[in-house]
Amino acid sequence: MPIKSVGHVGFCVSDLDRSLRFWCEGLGFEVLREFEFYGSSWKRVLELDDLDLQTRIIRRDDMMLEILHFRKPGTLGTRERSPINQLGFTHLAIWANDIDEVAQRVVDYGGSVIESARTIFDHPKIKGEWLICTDPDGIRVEFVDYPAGEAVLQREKSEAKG
Amino acid sequence: MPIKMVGHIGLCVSDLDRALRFWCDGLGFEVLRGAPFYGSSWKRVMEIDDDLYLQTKMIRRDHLKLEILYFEKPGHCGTSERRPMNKLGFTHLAVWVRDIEEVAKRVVDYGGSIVESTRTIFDHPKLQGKWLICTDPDGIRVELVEYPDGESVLEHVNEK
Repeated sequence: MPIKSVGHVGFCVSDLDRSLRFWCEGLGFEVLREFEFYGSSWKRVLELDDLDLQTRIIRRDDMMLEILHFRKPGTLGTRERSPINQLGFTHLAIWANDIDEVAQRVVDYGGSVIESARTIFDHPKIKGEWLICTDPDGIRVEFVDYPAGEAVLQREKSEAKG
Repeated sequence: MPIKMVGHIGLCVSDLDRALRFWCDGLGFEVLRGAPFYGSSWKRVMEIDDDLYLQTKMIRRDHLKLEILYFEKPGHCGTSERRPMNKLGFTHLAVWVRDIEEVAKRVVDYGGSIVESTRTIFDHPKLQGKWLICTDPDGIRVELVEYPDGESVLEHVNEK
């Protein structure tokens, strides 16, 4: 296999400070590295005619993300969340243990809570609570308080390390 | 902090078998598990008004877990064209490779596309490596990087 390793997943934001506040102060990611990209070679790679890009690699647990802030040429798209059935990356899932506290935290740090999507499951096979939020630019973040699911997760984690 | 752990990132695809072929056979992810989602509670969580029948596969490679979402009902929206890098939202997945030519061939063989015009070789004192943008069968950008020392030493290196 000619592949060494998968790296980070990138996302484009409209306000770098606001995003760092949400992801790092709000959700506990740490900044690993900072980069700046400009010049003709990077324009070619990124398929942009004009370019002044600041990025931050952030990590929490095993997830590495790259925040991209295009000072030039600016951003496209809207800060509305996309439908979950739209082709492409759809959401980030996070395990939580107090959904009310998470919801408060999301709002305090510049995100939004989609109250209408908040759902409690209380069936024999699934007991837990799901909360859908968005980051300041409309990225869906799914918070899950689902103790039975975490057992699966822990097993996968030990398998991955073993 | 009420948050325990970050989990996976989801991706919506138009053809489940084609996506599994690309991500697993092509790029070396393994399938951990799969589950269908339907019924009114899940419609609420996913903000889907119409009938919902969603098949998912959780896949993993290295530290990254992805959840492939295939909406049998109500189908998907959007196009399989790659999105501009500067569009708000998720943009790309970076992959570190040993041999960019070999991976590029693999991408094509397993149903993805390569964007030839992005192929770039950096040969500066501070940065030597090869970059190539590809897409999965549904237009997700996969950034292939052949860079001997890897991510840990990537520095601010730009040309004017």
